[in-house]
Amino acid sequence: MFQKKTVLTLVAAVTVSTILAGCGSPSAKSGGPAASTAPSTATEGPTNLKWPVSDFKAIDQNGQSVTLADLKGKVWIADVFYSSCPTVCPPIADNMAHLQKMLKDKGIPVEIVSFSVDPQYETPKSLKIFGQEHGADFSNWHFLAGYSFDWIKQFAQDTLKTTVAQVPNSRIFSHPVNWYVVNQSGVIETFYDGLHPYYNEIVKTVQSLEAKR
Amino acid sequence: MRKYALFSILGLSGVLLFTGITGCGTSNPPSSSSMNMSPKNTTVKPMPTVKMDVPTQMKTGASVQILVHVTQQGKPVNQVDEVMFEISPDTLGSKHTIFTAKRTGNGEFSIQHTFAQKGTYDVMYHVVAMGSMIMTGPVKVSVS
Repeated sequence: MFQKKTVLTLVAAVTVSTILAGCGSPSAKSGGPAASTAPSTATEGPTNLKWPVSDFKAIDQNGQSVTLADLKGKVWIADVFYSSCPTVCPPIADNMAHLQKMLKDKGIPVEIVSFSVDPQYETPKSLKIFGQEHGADFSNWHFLAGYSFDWIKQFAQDTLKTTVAQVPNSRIFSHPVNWYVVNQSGVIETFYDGLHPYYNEIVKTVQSLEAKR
Repeated sequence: MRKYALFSILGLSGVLLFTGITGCGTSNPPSSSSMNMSPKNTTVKPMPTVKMDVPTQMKTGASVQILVHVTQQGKPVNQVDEVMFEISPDTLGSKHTIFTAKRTGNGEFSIQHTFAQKGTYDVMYHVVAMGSMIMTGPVKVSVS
């Protein structure tokens, strides 16, 4: 009887501890607009991707030209969006603004480059309004258009290794939701999920790249 | 009596364990992309394919299932960030309504919806999975 009790107690204890261990919040994240906990398997991005960024020439929210050469020697984060995007782009931009502030508060230099997948529609004004709506600090965040849709489609394929697609006769696009971290030589080192960002990991990555300057 | 107690405790443990597992599953980040982020898994996979299944003719008051099948390289995708359906009356200035889908099968996400009024509606999906936002043009449905 004693043994049975012991077994039962152990079963219950193991069960409860399993539940507690499983649900105990890892809480490795700093709270952002869409903070999520970081499982141990995903604390690092796919390091050493070494995907070179294709050359580009674009126009930003101020109507100024921005080229790949302008970013040489700087660590930058790239993503794609479009200002009329109905669902994911707004929260991703909110998240990026949070990351931008984190990096600024830590004194880590970075540039942020958001490529629109809807360049036929975008104007410097639409880009600026989108940035303002999501709390962008324009001093180091560039919202870009001024190229053709075919170009951004090819750029996504060649540089980001993913797909940008437009539904015919519409302004509806499929596009990646990742943030791509680019080193000083214009080469993508890694990427992260921009919808559920691992802020602390991204900050560490940018900081470590910056230290290699 | 002892047997009853034994079964009760084991049963309770089982329920707790099951609850714990399912509860914890929902608290983890959706993180389809986290799979892509594994250092050992840097192979670039194509954007998932989404196929929507919605009846194009229906009656008011009838509950219908609107669903998508999400696959990548022919395999069902169950880890998604979100699947939503946008339903808009096909009239100028009308407001759309967005419904979040639940997983109802292997790579299948759906809602049950009842159209209360006659008319033509646009139904479209928004799927975020494996690092991509995937959308397509609306399907027109007629409600009589």
